[in-house]
Amino acid sequence: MMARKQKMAILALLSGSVCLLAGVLHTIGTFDLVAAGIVLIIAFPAFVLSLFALWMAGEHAGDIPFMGY
Amino acid sequence: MLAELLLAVVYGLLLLGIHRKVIARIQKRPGPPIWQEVLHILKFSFKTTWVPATASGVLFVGVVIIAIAIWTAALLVVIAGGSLMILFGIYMLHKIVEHGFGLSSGSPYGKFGGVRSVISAASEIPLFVSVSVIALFTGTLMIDEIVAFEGANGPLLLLAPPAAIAMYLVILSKMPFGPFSIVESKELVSGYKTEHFGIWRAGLEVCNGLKTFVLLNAFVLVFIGALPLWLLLLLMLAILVSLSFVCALTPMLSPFDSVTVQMIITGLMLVYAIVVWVMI
Amino acid sequence: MIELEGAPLFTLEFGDILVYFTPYTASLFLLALLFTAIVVLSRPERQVEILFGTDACYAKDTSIEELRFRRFMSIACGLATMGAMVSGDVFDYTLFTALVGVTNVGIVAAVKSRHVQNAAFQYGIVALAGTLPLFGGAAIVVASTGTLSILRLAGGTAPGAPLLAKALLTLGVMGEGMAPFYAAKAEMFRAPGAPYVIMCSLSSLLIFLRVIEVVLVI
Repeated sequence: MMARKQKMAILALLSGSVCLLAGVLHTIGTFDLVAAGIVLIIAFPAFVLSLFALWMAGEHAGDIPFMGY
Repeated sequence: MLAELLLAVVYGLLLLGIHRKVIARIQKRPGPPIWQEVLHILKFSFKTTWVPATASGVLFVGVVIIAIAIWTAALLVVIAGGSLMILFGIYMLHKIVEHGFGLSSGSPYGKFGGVRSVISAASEIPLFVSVSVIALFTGTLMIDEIVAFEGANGPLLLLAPPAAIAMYLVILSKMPFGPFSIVESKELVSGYKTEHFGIWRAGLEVCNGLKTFVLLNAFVLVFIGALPLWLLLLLMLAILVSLSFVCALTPMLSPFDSVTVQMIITGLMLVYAIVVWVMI
Repeated sequence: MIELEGAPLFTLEFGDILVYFTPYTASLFLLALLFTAIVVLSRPERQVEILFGTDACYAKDTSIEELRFRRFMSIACGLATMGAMVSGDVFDYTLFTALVGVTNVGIVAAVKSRHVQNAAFQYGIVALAGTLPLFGGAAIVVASTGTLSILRLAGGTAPGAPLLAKALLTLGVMGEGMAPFYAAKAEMFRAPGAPYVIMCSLSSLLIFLRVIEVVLVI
């Protein structure tokens, strides 16, 4: 079982590079705006959320929560 | 394209921060720094996050993704000079996103935010009237053709001022702290946003930045025309400051009054559209 | 005349009855598909209520049978919405739109709450009344132009549809759940089962966005 941090790192890297690739391919003219746009619409939200989830995920188990007296 | 997307997110958030600052200064408060909304995103994105036990998980997470996706699409439509109809559709879909945010958690505050968002559905119709009046004047709905029309005939702001007012009111009804922002009013804690915390809230703020940028950009593009980037950003700022003045000086309406005022505006706009249609 | 949103990407013709996708209708179709997938995949939320004046709150329980029926109705509503997005002739469009109205009532009909039932009843009456101008509009289109195909009407090979037909179509769709009749729907959103209830508003918005395209091009 992979740690959540690792999973999110992979997802962020993957979606981020897809975004970057679409942007670069559009700039050099391989992708037209529609194709690059569709890729970006799918990959950009995934990138944003996985990046945040990556930052947020702790590296070790949290404290035992206060369960009440 | 990526550069525009990043610019839109950051500048949109900065505009929202300036919005808060201007409102605060008008009300003689110091107000938060103008990059407060950017800080908000960073803050929320570092918070511990999970999905509430009562929530409908797929929808709870799904709406955040959809919210960012639709406004990314809207930005691309504006950049590509695409159809105003798609922009109108995305604006209406934002309502579904609000419902999703409000209803998916099971929280009563979120639910009432969602229900208020349903009853204020009349606020979308002025945008439709605005779009149809633009279509009547220019004979097209593609943004690049509208811009070309304005290059030849002067800005639509002077040709069809009521349509510009209608779109201005539509943007106003989406601004936070405005007279129509009943969906996130404080008696509902934060309305439809209440239960989305941590990275979900950070995602929502990214969407808000994009939304503010797209709506103001579309307003300048459609009613004033193509401009160099620095002038475009400056004009967007000017429009935003005028919106802040309205928001600072008007109280938030009660849900009933808010809907009534929106219905009256809609009625007036429909009359205007019919007049234009008969005249042309 | 206002241009159709780009040339159709795909057309499937059976004479007057046809299916087509333009970039605009394809994106609407994908949205309907996406939200139907969410209905299929997600479990409904459990609503939390507050006891006013106290700190107490409790989660409401909803029976599995009720939710099963409502999920079925939501999926039916999603399918009807997708049908309305892809159908390229006025009659099928109106048929799917009427089906959206019926399934919308179905989505909340099993909820055991007086407010929801009242709203569903009032909305149901408006939606039923809305089908009359809807089908009337389609009938006038076919009677005056001789065709139901939106592509043929948009292409200019047939005479344009009369304004009355367009007005009736728009009125009918507004009756199925747009502002100002939308207000009747607000109380329906008190019902538990967020993914299902959202189909109510999504389907109305999508059929309204589609009818704008239809009346602009025919």
